Amino acid sequence: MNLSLQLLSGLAVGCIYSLVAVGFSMVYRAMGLVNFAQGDLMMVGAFVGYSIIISAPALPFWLVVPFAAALTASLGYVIAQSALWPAIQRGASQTYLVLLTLGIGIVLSNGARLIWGANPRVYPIPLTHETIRVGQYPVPAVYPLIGLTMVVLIVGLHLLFTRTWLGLALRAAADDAQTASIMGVNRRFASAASFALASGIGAAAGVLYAPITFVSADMGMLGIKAFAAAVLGSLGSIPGSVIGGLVIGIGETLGGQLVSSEYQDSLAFLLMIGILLVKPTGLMGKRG
Amino acid sequence: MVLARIGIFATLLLSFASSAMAKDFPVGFFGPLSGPAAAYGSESLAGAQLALEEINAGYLGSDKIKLIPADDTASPGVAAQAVQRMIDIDDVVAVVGGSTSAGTAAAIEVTKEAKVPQLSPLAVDSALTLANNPWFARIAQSSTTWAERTAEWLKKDKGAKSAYLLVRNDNFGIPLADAFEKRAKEIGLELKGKIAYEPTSREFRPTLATVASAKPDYIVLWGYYTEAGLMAKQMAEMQIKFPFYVGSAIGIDQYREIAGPSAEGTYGLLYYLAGSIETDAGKKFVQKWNERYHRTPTQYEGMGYDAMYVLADAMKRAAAKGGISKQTIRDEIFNTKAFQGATGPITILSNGDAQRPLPMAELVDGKVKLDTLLK
Repeated sequence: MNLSLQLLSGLAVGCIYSLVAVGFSMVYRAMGLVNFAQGDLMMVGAFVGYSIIISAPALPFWLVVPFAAALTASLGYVIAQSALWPAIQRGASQTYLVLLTLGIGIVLSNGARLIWGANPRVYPIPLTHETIRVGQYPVPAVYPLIGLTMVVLIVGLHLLFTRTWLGLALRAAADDAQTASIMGVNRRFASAASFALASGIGAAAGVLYAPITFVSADMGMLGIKAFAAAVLGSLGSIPGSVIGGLVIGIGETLGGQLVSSEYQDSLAFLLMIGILLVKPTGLMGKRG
Repeated sequence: MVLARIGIFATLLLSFASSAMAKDFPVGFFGPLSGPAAAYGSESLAGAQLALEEINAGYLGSDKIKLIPADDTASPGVAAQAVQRMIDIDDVVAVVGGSTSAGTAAAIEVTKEAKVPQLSPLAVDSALTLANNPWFARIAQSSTTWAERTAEWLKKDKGAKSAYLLVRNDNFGIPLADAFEKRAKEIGLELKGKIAYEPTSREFRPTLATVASAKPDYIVLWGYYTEAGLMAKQMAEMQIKFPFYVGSAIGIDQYREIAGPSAEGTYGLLYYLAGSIETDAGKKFVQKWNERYHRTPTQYEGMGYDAMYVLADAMKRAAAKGGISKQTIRDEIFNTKAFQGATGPITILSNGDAQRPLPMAELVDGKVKLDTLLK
């Protein structure tokens, strides 16, 4: 089978990893914690997208993405305000916070099972089973949409953080919380807004990933690979997360094709270990 | 006049006596009624409940069965606890269950210890009957039989010369693949390769590319319906066209949803296929199910229905021979010979395994159609 086809698949899946990894990095920068519920927020977003499609079948798919992202971002905001910020304020240790996000992830996963049921859900849209031709290769029709969304979101984030008061406030709070708060930036709001933004981006990834496979309550497991991507690119770096996701996505697909398809999942992590051994700070990390 | 009164009095006395002798026999049922494997438990329970209605309408004379269902959530620990509770608190005379091999394996230890007969409608793992446990039997074929019949069908019915195995790397897929491989070697069906994939995988393109390069006559999958659906879908996307065998996934709606149009033409082996059994019992069951639910019964509903009937039939024979007890029910379950069930004739072998037909099916125009009824 032609490697170009595998490369396209790797790129598409890599984009999904990248988007979830961006969420990891954003929360890490803003709140100083690793949010292990990020994968489950992606899963919730995918289920929310499913409900939107069922409720409004006439709605174009490209509009489902922002709607699901907005609703999941609201959930993220509530989680940050009601669970994470109080714990941070009480001086919870990193270990406690990691366990807290793991617990939130489990609650989200079981909650989704209660609301949407245990059976996998398939997006009932033509896009789920449509293919298009890229050059001489047949690829799922959702691939270009994934690539386009990825570019739009990254450009949008860049503009948000460099051109808007909200973005500058979020960056300031992430870089130097004390000074930012003296300058009038509400730390609690900034942290919750970052968490909400990360949840929304994760949800967009979930909605885009759903037509490739299906939606299920254990979909959050993908978060493990996205976390690896974020670490590979340097946790906290948004460009690094994007590169890390693409490296993991392409690495596992090409590795599965060229080395062994039985160990394609392991190969992605082996690649991560190899790169981190050479560059312990990650691809975009700086020494010191 | 006096004689007439005596007659009426005698009749009343007899009816009182017989109703006083009529008993409600508690029977346990366990399986996953919630969680990811809920379809197996809830559907087989629905079938069992329909059978129970008929059984309690006079199949056992004035005696009745009182069903005590429990949800094991597909967890072996919960299954064992649920069965222990049925035995300790409800004093069940028999247990119907489980619906998964892991849950059944856990419950077997409890029923064996308490000497309570257990009859499983769906558990297929060959290891369950290897120990010759005298208190456990099943009406489903063992995984070894499923795999061997599939290899034989490929070779003899389809004229296949080669196959490529895709195996879910766990205790569901590996025993099936091993049994298939062994039988394939015996009958001269060439194995072009075997790939064991991780149960969490969703990206099968590299695997499918490897399979395609080997050019097998058939691709045989021993895995779950979600993986089967994704593989069929990704094969279509990659324009890989090989006949694809997916096991019992073919009878599951979600498989067809995930695979979409690419599910067309896939093959699979089912526990039971409505309409494939041309006996009176088979026709009557499908007709009654259609009347009540306005659809044909699923494979799990059929198996639940027959499991309850095999148990009731054993109880009926035990009553005729002198009395219903845990021991006599057990003896008569193991004496079941060619019971004419809705899902076909069922014989329980001395090790607790079942001898029954297996329908090999194909998806044609989105419908599961019988290919061959494997004896």
